[in-house]
Order: sequence, then C-alpha cells, then structure tokens
Amino acid sequence: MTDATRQTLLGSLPTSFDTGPEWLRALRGRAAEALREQGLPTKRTEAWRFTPVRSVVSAEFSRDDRGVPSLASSLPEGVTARSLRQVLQAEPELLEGRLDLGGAPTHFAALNTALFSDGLWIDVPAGTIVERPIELTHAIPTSSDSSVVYPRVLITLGDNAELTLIETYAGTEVGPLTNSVVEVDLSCNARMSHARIHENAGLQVGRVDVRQDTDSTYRSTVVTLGGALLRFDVRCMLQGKGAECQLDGAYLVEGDDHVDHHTTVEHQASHCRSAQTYRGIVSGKGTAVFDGLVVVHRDAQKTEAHQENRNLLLSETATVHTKPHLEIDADDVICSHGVTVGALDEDQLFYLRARGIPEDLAHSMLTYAFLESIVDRVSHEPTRARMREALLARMPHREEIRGVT
Amino acid sequence: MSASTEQIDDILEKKYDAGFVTDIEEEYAPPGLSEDIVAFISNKKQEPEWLLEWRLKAYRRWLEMKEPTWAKVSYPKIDYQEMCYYAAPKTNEDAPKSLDEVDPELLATYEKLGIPLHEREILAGVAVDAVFDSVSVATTFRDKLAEVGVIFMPFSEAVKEHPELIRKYLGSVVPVSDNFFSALNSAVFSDGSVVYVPKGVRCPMELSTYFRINAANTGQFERTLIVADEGSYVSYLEGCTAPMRDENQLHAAVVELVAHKDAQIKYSTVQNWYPGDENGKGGIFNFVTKRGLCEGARSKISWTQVETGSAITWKYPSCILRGDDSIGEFYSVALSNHRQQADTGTKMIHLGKNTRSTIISKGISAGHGHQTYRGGVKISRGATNARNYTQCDSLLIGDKCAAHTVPYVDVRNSSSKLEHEATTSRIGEDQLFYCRQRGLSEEDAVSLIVNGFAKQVLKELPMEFAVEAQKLLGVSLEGAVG
Repeated sequence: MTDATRQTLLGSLPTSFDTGPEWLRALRGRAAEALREQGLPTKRTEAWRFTPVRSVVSAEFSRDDRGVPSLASSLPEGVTARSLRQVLQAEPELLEGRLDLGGAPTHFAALNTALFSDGLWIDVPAGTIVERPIELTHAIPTSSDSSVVYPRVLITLGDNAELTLIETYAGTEVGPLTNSVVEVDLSCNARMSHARIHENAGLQVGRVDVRQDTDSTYRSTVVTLGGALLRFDVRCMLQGKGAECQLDGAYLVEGDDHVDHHTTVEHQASHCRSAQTYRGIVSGKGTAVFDGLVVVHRDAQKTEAHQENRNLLLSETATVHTKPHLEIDADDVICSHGVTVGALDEDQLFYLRARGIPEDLAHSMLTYAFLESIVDRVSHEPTRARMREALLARMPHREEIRGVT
Repeated sequence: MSASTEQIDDILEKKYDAGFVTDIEEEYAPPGLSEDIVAFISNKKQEPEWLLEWRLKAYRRWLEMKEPTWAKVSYPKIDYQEMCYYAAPKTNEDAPKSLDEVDPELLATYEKLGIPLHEREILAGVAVDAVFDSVSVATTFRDKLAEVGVIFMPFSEAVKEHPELIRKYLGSVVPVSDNFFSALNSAVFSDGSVVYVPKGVRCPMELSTYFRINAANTGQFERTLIVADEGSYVSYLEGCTAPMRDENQLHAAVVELVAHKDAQIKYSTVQNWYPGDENGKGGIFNFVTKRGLCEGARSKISWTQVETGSAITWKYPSCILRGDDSIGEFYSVALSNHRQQADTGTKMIHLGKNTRSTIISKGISAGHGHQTYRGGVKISRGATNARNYTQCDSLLIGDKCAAHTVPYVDVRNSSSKLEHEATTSRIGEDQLFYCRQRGLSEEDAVSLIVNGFAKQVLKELPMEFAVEAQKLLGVSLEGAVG
C-alpha cells in the first residue's frame, strides 16, 4: 500500500479535504491551514530548540497507510475496539468533538490530524473494570524506503471505568518516520494506567493528549530505549475537580541517539494533583532533552503539583538539556520542581566495590537501579515485569543483575 | 485568612513614599534618535573620535535588531523616537568641587531620600558617586581611593583620563550587539561609573552609586564598568529611587564586570524605582544587561539584588566562568506588587575546570504582580568538575498574582554536578497561626515570614544595604495577605 510518490511532509498536504463527515473535513482543514501558516518547527521554535528536525522537514517520504496499531491481546468483555475509518464511515457522529481533545493541534500533531487515514478507537463503557491489560503494538515499517506512518488512537473511558494499556512502538530501521497521536478521554472517576515502551526506533514523533474529568486518575509510565530522533509529548488537562495524574518516564540514550520528552500538566480545576518524575541515563554521543511544564490556571486553587527530572551523564560526549518550568496563576498551591545532572555516586560505587563487585558490574547495577525506580512505580505486576525486561535487555551484565535483584 | 479585605486593600494601596520631583533646569537633547543625536551626545561629552565611532556602530546594529518578546512581560509599545536621550543638570557647567558647591536643591533631594552624602561620608565610610539624571555631580573619597590606586570616577571623566582602560574593556563582556537594549545603551549611554582596582589591592571601602531618574521622558542609560585586576577585591553598591511620574520611563543600563586572576567582585543592588500606581499607570521600565566575566583562575563574581521597584523588570545578571576554579554567585529577592511585572534571573556559563556557581532566587508576588524566574545554567564540554546549585522559591500573596519559574539547564560534561530545586507556595496558614498565637499582629507576622523567606539573600548584602532592603520589603508587603 506504500504510495510510490515521495513528498516532503508539508508537500503531502492536500489543498482540500473532501471525504469524511463535515466536521472532520473542517478539523483537517484547520490543521492544514495552521501548518501552512506556522510550518513545521525550526530551531527557533522554543519547544523544539534542542531537537533539530530540519532533516525530517526537508526529507521526502512516501506515505504508508499501514500505520494502524494492532491489538496484541484479545479484548476483555465489554470493551470495544473499532477501526476509526469504519466508525467515520458508518457512525461519524460518535466521534464528533473527540478527535481534537487537545485543542487546535500544531506542528506534527496537526500533520497527523490532517493526514491520518485510519486508527483505533478503544472504548471502555461506564463501570467496566478491565483487569487484564490491553496491548497495542505499533510495528514500524521495516522497509529501508523512507516512509511515513500516521498512527492514531482514541481511548475513551466512561464513568468509573478502569483500564491498563500497554503500547509498544517497535522497529529498528532508521528512515521511516512514525508520527503518532493518542488521545485519552477520562470521564468522572475513571482510572487509567498507560505504559508505553519506545524500542529503539528510527524517527519517532509521538503525542498523547489526556482530558480528565472529576476525580479521574491517569498514570503514565514511558520507557524510552534510545532512538535516532525521538520526540514524545504528553499533556494532561485536569478539567474536573479532584483529578489526578502521574507522569513517569525513564530514558536510556546511547550512541548518537537524540531523545526528547516533553510533559505538560494543565491544572484547570481546583483540588487536582499531579506529579512528574523523569529519569534518564545518557552516554556515548547521546543527547537527552526534558521539558516539563506545570500550568496552574487562575481558579485552580488547592493545587498540588510536583516535578522532578534526574539525569546521569556517563560519557564525556553526552549532552543533557532540561527545562522544568512552572506557570502559576493561583495562590493556594503547593508546587515544586527539581533537577539534577551528574555522574554516578562515588560513594555508592565504593560501597559495591568494597563488597567485591567488579567495577563494570557495579556501574551496570547502579545505572539499572536508577531507572528501575521509575518502573517500580507501575502497580500492575506483569506490566512492571515487561518493562523491567525491556530495560534489562539493554543493560550489560543483565544476567548478573537479574541474579541480585 | 483572618485579615479583612479592606485592611489588605489599604496596605496594598500604600503609596510610593519617595515620589516627589525636584525642579532643576535641564539641558535636553531634542527628542528622537538618529545618528545626529548620537553625535550630539558624544560631542556634548567631548568624547574622542573612536568612542563616537563605537556609538555609531552600536546605533547601526540597533537599527537592525528587534525588541525581544520572549520575556513574560507586557507593556505598551515604546516609541523610541519620542524620548530624549540626553539631559544634564545645568549646574554641570561649572562642576562642583565639593559638596558645598552642589546645588542645594539636589542635596535636599538626597536629604528626602535619607541619604545625606556627608553624613554617609563620615558614618558609613562609603564613597558615593551620585548620578543625578545623567551627569555625575559629586564624587567623594576619591583622594583616599587614589592613594591605593583605585580608580572610581564617572564614565565621561574616565574616558578622558584613562582612555586605554575604557578602550580595552568597554564592550568586552557585553558586546555591542548582545541584545536590543544593550545596543541601544551602547549608542546613547549618558554616563555611569568606572572602577579599576589595581593588582593586589583590597578596595578600602564599599563603593556606591545612587541613581535617580528625574526629568520626565528621558530614559536613563547608565554604563558601569568594573575591572578588578589580579588578586584584588572590590564591593560595589548600587541603589535607586525615582520620583512619581505618569509617563513610563525607560531605563536600559549595561553593567560589565571583569575579574582577573584571584580577584573578587561583589556587586549589590537595591532597586526601588517607581513601580507605577495601583492600576499599573506610570512606572519605570527597567531593561538591564548585567554580566560579569571571571576571566582569571580562582576569580569570583557575586551578584546580590533586591528588586522591589519598576513597573517592568527585565534583568539577568550573569557570570561567565572562564577561569579555572572561578566562582559565580547570584542572590536575588524580587518583589512584585500591584501591576508590577518582573522577569528576572541569571545565567551561569561554566567554561573553566572546577568552576562553581550558586543561585538563590526568592520571588514574592502580591496583588496583580507577575513574577518570572528565568535562569540558565550551561556547563560546557571542557568544564570538568563544574558544580552548580540552584534554588528558586516563590511566595504568593493574593489570588490575582502569578509566579513562573523557567530554568534552562544544559550540561555537556559528565564529571559535573548540577542541582536545581524550586518551590512555589503561599504563606502557610500554620506559620501565620503560630505567630498570631504568640501575640504578633497579622502584619508583623507576614513581615516576619517574608523576611525569613528572603533572609538567605538579605544576609549577603553589605550592612548599609541590608537595613534598607529589609525596610523596603516591610513597607511593600506588611499585611498584604489574603
């Protein structure tokens, strides 16, 4: 299904959209218009300052419509998973207002909105508690051809529903570009755990937008295992009183990898709580970027928001850019953020060495433990084990580490 | 909280105490900015050809530059052609030799501000290079300083007496085209101070300049240059108040510090310019470029600032740590009340080995005040064993104020260690309760808590300033709790 003609990303935007329901055509039109106006990000775009995408913007890609995520597990009872394309054809009204949760999309998300051809809609009806996690696999085309895929996922949880989702983005080739958008809509008191694993994948730009109603809870754990160019944005909009979100992330950056994580939490209602904890290990000539933002709106009193980013720099040629920022427009809040960048703790190394552990193993143990503390916070045991394995697979001395943990 | 709304409003509406205008005839340049005006200023100050060229170069660069918009401040567009770029008190024609010759009205101005020069001379042992509008009118203690070889004089004089010094260092830390406002300053700077401390000399007293903007519609463009030669030490104090005016006044100063091997510079500021009235009318626009270069090994530059005034503050005193083992410090208390907006912070650029920096920033936001901490810490590839510690806390008072924290951290060296932490909260009810229970009034309790919040910074100030700074915080914030 690969489109043989290769075009630049912006060049592939059609001048008009004439399929699908009226509202979708308008939505795609707005996204395309925004793109034509702003273009794709450059080095001068604040949010993309440290992640150069010029090569991506100027490169030519062929469109690949196989970017539909597939379910790796069977569906639990009550849960529906439908193709976006089919729903848009048969009952488009069901999706109206639900494909632009994050507001007007910009840059790569706008590109996805304008161009996605299919996707997946997972709906968990009110009161349904899904105990077994649902697994989604995004296989990145392995053709050496430069192709681009636009995966799109919509997840909706009714009141009091509960879901654990595991997403895996896998692939090994440098060349294909994955530009994904996941939207999550949580109704009152819904709870969702979202585990996302980025296996080493060529070019990846991903975005998750979450809208949260009263008393809902969203927990996200992202494990990023390198990437020639990986950019991941997650944004939570806490719109209902008492909503809570926890955004965790662990990244392992080696070689020439460039990994960029952006988190945004918008406290739009009062009595909400949020916590962001990202940890990363950067070695080789790798570059890691972290940009965390907490916005507390005028009326969001009684907000509690915390943000933490820790980085270990393991080589002379590695680079870390981090920018945890707070924008606070209310006064009855408790907010904090912290950043550290440094090398492995000499004392901890000494402790292990004094107990007869060889230096390289001690190094591996400490680096693994540094990231494992993020994975440890995942409450679902099988998911936790999956993530641990994914991390261990990238560690030297994994057998010995397995032996001691 | 228990304080009634009226009570809070009363205190929040506290008027600017130092708002008065002294009537002294001014000598103006016609409003507007052009190469002619730049030449007029240069001519007026009888500057050498090279400095005029330098100014013109800056002016041409400025024409090509755009006003920065990235700061979280909003203000009406400034019409740079509407302002006057030169104003000198007439008394300058026959410059006073001593305080007795100084215009009595001017002395009275200082009197009202509580800075009697001669009293200071005797009691505090501080040499004051007072800048009234743009021309320095009194310089004290110069003889005593000259004895040890310290140069402390107005910029215009230094250009004549020590041209080689100015030529060597002017624009060496803040290049002409560094930013929009520094380019503007470079083109039209009026006067300022020059300090040079020779090798191995510990400056025998705190050097101090009092700035005061007086004439309406004249921006003040100060230029300060401090050079500490090998093994020397100097502490410099800068403080300012301004009379109440309706038009927005522009201030775009440039401060350059150079610390050679083993030298130390301590630069302290208490800034209390007119912040505008409670509706945000009037007030000073303060766009300042301050940067220090730790040029030599083991040099140290320390910035301490207490920012309570100005309608808009745009200010990032920075340190370039080039020498091995050099140290940069930044201590700041910034307060914004009413409609004040402050976007301030620092930049620490680690280039040398074993360089260390400390950033302590305390922001207090009340009323409709907006406060942003914007800081950058950069550790370059070669800065082995560099160390940075950053702490920036914000205190919120009232539900209409805002506090933002925007730290940028770039690390390219694995042996370096960097920590950043920040908190934002309002005054704790339990803290207030504790104080009230022990018989403190609500106002005293808040003042106590705010001063405690800022103590880490205030203790870095020289004695003379610490008292004033504490008073300023108290006056601006007593009971401003909601």
